[in-house]
Amino acid sequence: MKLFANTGTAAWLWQRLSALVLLVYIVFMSWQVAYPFLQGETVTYDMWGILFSGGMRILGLVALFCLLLHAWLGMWIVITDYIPPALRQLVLLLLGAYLIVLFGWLFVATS
Amino acid sequence: MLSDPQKRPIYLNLFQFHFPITAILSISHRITGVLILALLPLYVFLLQQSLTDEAAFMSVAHLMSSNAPLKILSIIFFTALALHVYAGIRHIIMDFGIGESLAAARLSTWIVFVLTGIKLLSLSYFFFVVIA
Repeated sequence: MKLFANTGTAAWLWQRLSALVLLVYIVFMSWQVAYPFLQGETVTYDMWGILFSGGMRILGLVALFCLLLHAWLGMWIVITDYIPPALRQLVLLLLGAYLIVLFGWLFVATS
Repeated sequence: MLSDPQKRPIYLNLFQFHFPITAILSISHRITGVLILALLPLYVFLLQQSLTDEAAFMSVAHLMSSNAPLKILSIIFFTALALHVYAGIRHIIMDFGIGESLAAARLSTWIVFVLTGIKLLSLSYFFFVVIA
């Protein structure tokens, strides 16, 4: 299968691959936050900072890229299903702008 | 004009329809996806603040533990995220051809909704008891 072809099958596959990366990231981060509370303690600023620096920064950027891809593919499906063809291009353009701003903001916020 | 009963416009009240539970999960998956994306800027902002310095981190922590509207919004956000993740896992399992019969699909749908309910309760407990 051509992974980078502009086909429905490629979109289908990327939607799922990005979902699995996000699943791993969400489960890991949730556990890192939940565990101290389960021990009757709390999350400190230092513990919080470690989750977004060093190796975790790399994992975070991979997750961020997957989030962008996953959101684009998912929203594309929703928009093409519900938005009338005349408005579709405009809404997709606005979505693209929203995602790029969000991507840039998250990149800066976690750096 | 519209004298022929066969050609009269039909009024469809969508609220009178009874949708199968699998259809309700399907639309919930879509709605939660859009909702997560719509609420994300708020959490990007809070994340940015929390990583600025220790004082900003403490003020975000204080906000999270004292602001009721933010707690309710956070419970909604993370419950939506949980449903989206559970429904997504179910979807990928079915992509592998597992649990595609109607009975299995209905059962897995119920499992997703029950797990989401548990997540809703545990998040409520976290925001209104643990960090209250």
